[in-house]
Order: sequence, then C-alpha cells, then structure tokens
Amino acid sequence: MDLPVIETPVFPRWVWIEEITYSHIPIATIITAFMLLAPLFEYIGMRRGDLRWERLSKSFIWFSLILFSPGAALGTGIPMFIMGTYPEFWSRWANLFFWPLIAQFMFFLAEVFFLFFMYYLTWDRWANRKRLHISMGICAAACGYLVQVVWDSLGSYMLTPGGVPLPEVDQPVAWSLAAMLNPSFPFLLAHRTFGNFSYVLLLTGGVFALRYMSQKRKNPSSENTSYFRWASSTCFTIGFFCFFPMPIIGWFYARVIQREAPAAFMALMGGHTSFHFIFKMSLIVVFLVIGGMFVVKRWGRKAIAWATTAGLLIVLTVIYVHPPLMWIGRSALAWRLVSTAVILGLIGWIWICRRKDNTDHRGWQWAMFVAGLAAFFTFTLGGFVRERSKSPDTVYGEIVKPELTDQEADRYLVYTKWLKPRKEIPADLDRNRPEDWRHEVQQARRDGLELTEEEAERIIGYLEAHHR
Amino acid sequence: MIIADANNPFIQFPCSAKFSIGFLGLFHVAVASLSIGFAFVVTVLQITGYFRKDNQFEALAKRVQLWHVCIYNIGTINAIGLVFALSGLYPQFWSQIFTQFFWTMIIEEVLFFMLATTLTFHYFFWDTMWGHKKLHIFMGALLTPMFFMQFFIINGMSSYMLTPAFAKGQVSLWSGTAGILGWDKLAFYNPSFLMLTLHRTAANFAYGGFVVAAICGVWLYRSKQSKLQTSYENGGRLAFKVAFTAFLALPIIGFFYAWVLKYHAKETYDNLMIGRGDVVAGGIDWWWVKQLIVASMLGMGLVFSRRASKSKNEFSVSMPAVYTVALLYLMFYLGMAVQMTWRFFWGSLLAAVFAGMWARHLLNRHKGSGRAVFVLMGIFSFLTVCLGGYVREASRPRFVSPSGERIAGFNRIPNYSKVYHPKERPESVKMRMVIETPSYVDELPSRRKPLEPERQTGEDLVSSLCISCHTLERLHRYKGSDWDRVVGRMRAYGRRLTEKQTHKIITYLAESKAHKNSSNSQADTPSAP
Amino acid sequence: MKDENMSKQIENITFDDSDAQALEILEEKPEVYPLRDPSEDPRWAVRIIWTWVSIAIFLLLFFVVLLILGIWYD
Repeated sequence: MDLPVIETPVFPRWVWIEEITYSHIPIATIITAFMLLAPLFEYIGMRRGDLRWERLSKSFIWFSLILFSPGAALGTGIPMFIMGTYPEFWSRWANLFFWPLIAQFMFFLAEVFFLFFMYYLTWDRWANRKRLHISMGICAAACGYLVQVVWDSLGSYMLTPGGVPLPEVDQPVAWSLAAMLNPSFPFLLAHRTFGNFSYVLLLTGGVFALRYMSQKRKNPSSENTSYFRWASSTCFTIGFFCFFPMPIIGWFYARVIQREAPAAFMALMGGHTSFHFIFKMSLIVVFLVIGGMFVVKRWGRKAIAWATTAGLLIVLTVIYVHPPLMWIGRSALAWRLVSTAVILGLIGWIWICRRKDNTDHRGWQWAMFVAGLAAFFTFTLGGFVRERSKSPDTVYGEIVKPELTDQEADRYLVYTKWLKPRKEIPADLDRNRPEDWRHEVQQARRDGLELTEEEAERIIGYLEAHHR
Repeated sequence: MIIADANNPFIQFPCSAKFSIGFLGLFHVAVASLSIGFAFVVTVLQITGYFRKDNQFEALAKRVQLWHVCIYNIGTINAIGLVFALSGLYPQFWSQIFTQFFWTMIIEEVLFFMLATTLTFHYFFWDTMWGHKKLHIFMGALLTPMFFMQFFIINGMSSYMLTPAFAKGQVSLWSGTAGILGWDKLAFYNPSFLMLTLHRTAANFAYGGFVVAAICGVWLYRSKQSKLQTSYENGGRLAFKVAFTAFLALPIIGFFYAWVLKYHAKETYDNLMIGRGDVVAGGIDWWWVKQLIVASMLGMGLVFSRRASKSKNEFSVSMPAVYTVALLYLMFYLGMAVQMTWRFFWGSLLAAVFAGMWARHLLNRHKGSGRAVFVLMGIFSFLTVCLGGYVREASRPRFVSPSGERIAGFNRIPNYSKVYHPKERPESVKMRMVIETPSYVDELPSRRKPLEPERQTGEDLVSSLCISCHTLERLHRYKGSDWDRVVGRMRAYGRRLTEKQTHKIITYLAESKAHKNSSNSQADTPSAP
Repeated sequence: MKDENMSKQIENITFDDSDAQALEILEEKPEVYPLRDPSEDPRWAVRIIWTWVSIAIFLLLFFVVLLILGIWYD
C-alpha cells in the first residue's frame, strides 16, 4: 500500500499549517490562562470579601466559554490537515505518541465536564458553597493544564528528540517516556506557562483599559468605571511581573537547544531566524518599558518599585551572561556599557518618578493597550521562530518536510558541517568574510574538516550566493 | 494490557481495538446527533414563540441552547479522539480513507468552526439582540443547514465504508481517476449515500426532539409551580410533535435503505436479516432489539397522539399520517416475516401493543400529562440511535486485504510500504492541485475487477443471485433434494439465469446438501468399537 | 457568599445567569415577550452578528457550489 502526499492550492503546505495553527493557539492559550487564574481570583475575592475579584473571575470564565467551542473546532483542524498533507510525519509521530494523544483527549473531556457543568453552570447555585465551587474550578484548570502538558511534550520532542528515534510507519511504539520527557520539555512547559500568564494578562489589562476609557466617557462616577480601572491595572500589573521568570527560563531553554538542536540554535542566533528573534526581543523591551513605568506610577509603593528593579536586574544579568552582541562598533565593551546604562537608567528613572501619579489619563490607557499588543505579538512570534529555526526538519534530525528546497538543505549543511565543527556562529560568516570561499573551504578540509566532495561544493555554493 | 509487541505489528487497546473504536464512535454519534436535533428544535421553539409572542417557548429554547453549547464541545472532542484512535489502531485504513476524502474532511473542519461560532454567538448574544429578534432567530436557524451539510459530508465517508461505490462491493484502493487527489466522486456519491443522508436527517430531528421532550418531562417531575409546568408541558408537546413527525418518515426511508443494501452490500443485508456476524453479540440479535424498540415507540407515539388529538391539543400530530405509517410498518413487518421468521412479526406487534397500553396507563396516571411518555421516548430514541450505529458497523463484512481476500479476524492492516514525496516544491503563489495524473499512478494497485462469469463458482452465484429475493436461511431449511425443480421454480418467478449459471447452482446445492446430510448421519451413527 | 448588588455591578456585561433569568421571566411574566426597539441593542453586538451571518451564508453557498461541482468533476 502506498501513501500519496496531498498538494494544497495557492500556498505551500507549510503556510496553510501555520495559518491553521495560528488560528487555534491564541484561543487555547487565553483559555488555559483564564482557567488557571479564575479559581485563584475567586479565592482571593472570597478571602478578602472583595467582589471585584469575583466579578473578574466570572468574566474570565464567561469569555473562556465564548472562545471554547470555536477554539476546539479550530484545534481539530490541525491534526486533520497534517494527516493529509504530512502523512508520513503524522503516521510515525502518532505511532510514537498514541497513548499520550488518547490521554489528552480524556483530559480534554474532563476539562469540558468540569468547566461547563461543574464550574460555570453552578456559579450562582453554589454561591453559598464557595470552596466547593472553587475546587471545581481547580479541577477544570488542572485538566486544561494537563492538556497543555501533553501537547508541550509532543511539541518539544519535535525540536529536541533527545536521542529517541522517530519510529517507522510500521513500528507501533505507542508510548515512550523518554520521548515525552525530552530535554527541552520542562523549559518549553515553564516558558509557555509563565508566557501565557504574562501575555494574556497584559493584553487583558490593555483591553480593560480601553473599556475603562469608554465607561468613563459615558458615566465617570459609575461602579463599572471604577471596576474597569481596577481590573485593568490589576491584570496589567500581574501580567507584567509574571514576565520576569521568562529571561531565566529562556536562558536555560536556549542552552538546551544549543546542545540538542545546534542547527536550530544557530538559526536563532545570527542565522535565518535571528531577525525575527531580535524583533521579538524588541517587542519585549517595549512592554517592559511601558509596563515598568506604568506599575510604578500607578501603585507608587516601594514594594512595586523594588520588584520592578529586581526584574530589570534579572534582565541585565541575562544580558551579561549572554555573549556580547557586536552591534555597537563591533565592540563587546561598548555593548556591555550601553546595555548596562539603559537598564540602570530605567531603574533610576523608576525610583525618581516613583510616586502615585495620574495614570487615568488617556495616554496611559492607550499605552497599556499598546503594551498588551506588544506582548501578544511577542507570543505569536514565538511559535513562528521556533518552527522556522527547526526548518527544514519537521522533527529535528529525524524527518525533513516534503517540500524541502535546495537552499534550505544547503543552509542546514552550512550550520551543521561548517559552522558547528569550527565553533563559529552565522554572524561570523559576514564578520570574517574571506576573499574566496572556495579557497577557505579547501583549506579547512586540508586542516581536518571532514566533508565529502558534494558537501563541500554545496557549502561553497551557498556561501558564495549568500555571503559574498 | 499489552501496549505494543515486537512480534505483533498492531497497537493493542484494552477491550480490543474494534470495541474501543465502536464505543468512541457511538459516544460521538449520540452526542453529535443530539446537537443536530437540538439546533432544529430550538429554531422551531423560537419561531413558535415569536409568532405567538409567547415567552415560554423562548425561555425553553434558551435553556436547550445552553445545554447544546455544553454538549457541542463534547461531540467535537470525541470526534478528534476517535480520529486519533483510528489513526493509531487502524493506520492503513485510516490513512487510505483519509486521503480519499481529504478535501471533504477539510470542509467538515471549516463547518465545525462555523457551527461552534454560530452556536456560541446565538446563545451568548441572546439578551443583547431583543431588538433584532428576527436576525437572532435567523442566525439560530442557520445552524440547521450547517449541521445538515456537516453530516452530508461525513455520510459520504460512512456510506462508502458500507457500499464502496459502484464497484460491486469491492474495496477501492485508490481514488478514482486521480484527477484531484483527496476527492473521489464515485466513492462519495456511492449507492447508499442518499438513503443514509435521508435516514440520518429524519432520525436526528426525531432524536433531538424526543430528548428535548424528555428533558421537559424531567423538569415537569421536578417543578412544582403551575406556570412552569404549563410551559414545560407545552414545550414538551411541541418538541414531541416535531420528533414524532420526523420519526414517521423513518420506516419509508428505512425500507429503501434496506433495498439499496440488498443490491450493493449483500453480506451486510444478510447479516442484518438473518442475524450473523457481530449483529448477534452475547446471544442477542441487536437488530431485532432495535426493531422491537422502534415498534414500542410507534405504539407509544400512536396512543399519545390519539389522546392529544382527541383532547384537541394544539400540538397533536395528524392522525391520518400516524395511521398510514402504522399500516406501512405492519406491511413491512409482514413482508420481513414472510422472508425471515414469523416470530419477528409477532414480537414486534406485541411490543407495539404493550407499549401502547403502558403509555395509556402512564397518561392516565399523570392526568393527561405526557411527562412519563416523553421521558420513555427519549430513552428509547437514544437506544435506537446507539443500536442503529452498532448494527450497521457490526453487519459490515470484515476489511478486505489488499489482495482482495476476506480474512476473518485479520481486520487491521498495519503498514504501508512506500510514501511518495512530491519532487518539487510548488512555484510561487498560484493555484496548484494535482490535475494531471501523477507519475506514480501506474504503480498503485488498481480497483479490483469483478470476477468474470466463467470464474464464478456455484457458491458465488448462490450468494449473489438467490439473495435478491430471499435470504439463504430458506436454502438451509429446505429438506428436499429436488434442486432442479426448485431452481426452475425460481426462474419461473422471475430470477434470470443462464443455463450455465443454473447448472452451477444446482450442482452446488446438491453437493453441499449431500455433504451436510452425510456428515449429519455420520454423527448419528455410533462409532465402531 | 452571595451579593444582591452583584447584578447591578455587572449590568453592562452580557454574561447571564441563564437558569435564574429563565425562571424569573417564566415565573413572573411568562406572557411577556420582551421585544424592544432595534436602537436599544448595542451597536457592536449587532455589527458582529451581521458580519458573522454574512460570512456564514457565503461559506455555506461556497461549499454547496463545491459539492455540486464535485458531482461533475472527479
């Protein structure tokens, strides 16, 4: 029996897969974050006797319910599309992860049961049994998180298989703990957990800020106005501080990728996805700056200022530990000096301007919304960067995508057979550009670099075409 | 529990792959069919409420739609769980059929999303759209054609599994003409597609309506306020009317469905009518059980409708229609009894009569309220939906191996030997589908051709020609040996046979009967010391 | 803890206590069919619904055309 690959109209397969995946992922992440936060906020509201937390919690769940059905429907489209357009990958990957896929389906069912029937529909009926109600919310959140755990495990395997081979189509492995607990799994999970909280709450804060503006216009003294003012700043602040574990997680994540998927690491750090990665970092800077200024001005307390300072110092530490970027006159010292000055300057500014200020001004509301959007686009770029870095492999080192082009194959060869053995990075290709690549490659081969004739020709061709 | 075994090329599943897929499939169908029925009933309730300006129907519609929102996700998640299980447990079958129906599945996915969004908007914007009520009702009404299109598409694949196109019951191993990979016209528009679609349309409306009525029945038991009770009674009766009207169409559709199966899936037809294969499980013929339940539903519905009609209730079903269908049922069961066994007829008649008497007792007991009848009909309807799916799958012959053999027990094919990769990446952004024949198409296995007449054995002829008028049970029960006269009589009744075919059939019947008789007499003869 | 002011706090949000609402309307005024002037509906909601209905009808017709074309072409 033979298995044909289906062609897609207009765009290549990978574009369609990307679009279908992007239609689902924002919805799924928002729902997961809201489901985890809702019982927590409800509990806080119960303990403090503050109904605003209750209202916020309920609105999270209400919004999750609106998004749930369309999100789930879009999610089913992803495997259906993959089955037809990447049949070999699907067959082999589903062979390896059959039981985890069945398990996540069970978790999903349980999630629906708890979320709809035991948490949402019982909200008023169990108004006098708050603890029971909150525990149902925790069950729903736990099931939803377990779904994320499974998919993070399966997704991280695609980048760092960790030595577990992708089985053939006729090898029904069905389950592999080593594949699920692959090297980058804990980091991807932690990254996505905090990342979801951060971007979702920053975006929610931004949206609430706009609602606050519109309510204020209609009726400045109404309860709704004060509620939205509180909700926007609370969500935004929590989302801002949830960001700060991310640089630490990201650092260790990158180290694992460097070890396990060196070609993907090179793609990120100076290679073909470095532009997107740097753009992502810039977006982070945007919401860090806006967020830092806002939370300090809004709350004015020392604790907030210290927490923000600590977070910024974490960022500075990561910048220091990271090899210096030679962007400023190709000088490592210049880079370190400028980055230190910027971060310390920001910290200084925060302490100087640390006073409760009027953040009710329209400008601040729009700033919060812009920061929320920046956080959202940071999140969307994450998946794109990861998949593109891994390209042309679908599973790193195990299976390539069917529509592999010569350029992608040659680029991969340059990363793995030219840069890695020489302990160089892609930026070195332009920094240390020789007169004649052919001579350079031949010299390297004479010095011990192992390359076949064909590989050498392909590498030379690529370097001459892209780094002349 | 064996998870995987080096010597066994299949993933193992507790309770066997067959039953786990069956369970997941039935779970999905029970929920998905309910969704379709709910959508239709909600629209009927809303329209009724709008024209009467009566909020009790509107409030009931909103509550039903809330339930619908909750269960819709269960159906969606179940569907993808079923897909994951199929792709792991029946990898070759799933890959093959998915490739064959790929583009229809993509449309199905888009419809999934459209339905989810429309349903969500319809429920969550209910209170904000009172100034645009007609638009709101229209949006809810859109759910019905969307659901119809969704199961129109899935019926293509489901009916293909039973009557795989006009290839005389042989499994198609490749998609038709390879004009567009992922679309196979003959496989989609196969012989039983239309009947399955009609059957499921009517059955889903009936099922949804009966369940809504059952929910109203449960609320009637639970509520104490008279205003609420009146609302639930009216709502339940309206839902029951919708459901029973759809139910009445089913025997007519079912008759033609069975006719199609007789000619295009004869083994399935045999298994259903005689009771073979998994149709009989645990000593029980589940097809019969379904028919008994259906007969009971008819009896109950008839009594309830009569009572409603006599009391001039506004939601009563037209009695001439009910009596006509009851008569048709009687005729069908008579015909089936003549071909099969009279026990079936008497059993069904008794079931209908007793159920009718039970309904009358319950109506009297609840002072004319239909609550108990609603609940029972809802339960019966759920059972028939599950049983219908079960017997259809159970009656289908085992999968055919690539060489065309039907191998009992070997119903999973684990692998495929070659995966084709496209040689080139599509250039730029332009419409590109496989419109020319791919280079590898000659290497693919072709459709299995039907046996030439000269190669058909007597057994082949008996099982394909005799079955067009009656079941094989008649042959097994016939005590005589004058097969030439029997076959001659059949030819006189209208069965067209060539001389060669006649000779082969008579020879086969005589030999097989003689073999059976001799083995019976050997069993009776005491063994020599 | 239940707060009677809760409903006032959330007056501008369209999430609802569906069971409680249905019961309230049914219990107190089942005969009331609360139609209102179209201008009282929030504009953003009406726009969303109109947009979505248009998209849905377009897609439905598109699929019907595809299925009809599929009868002719293989």
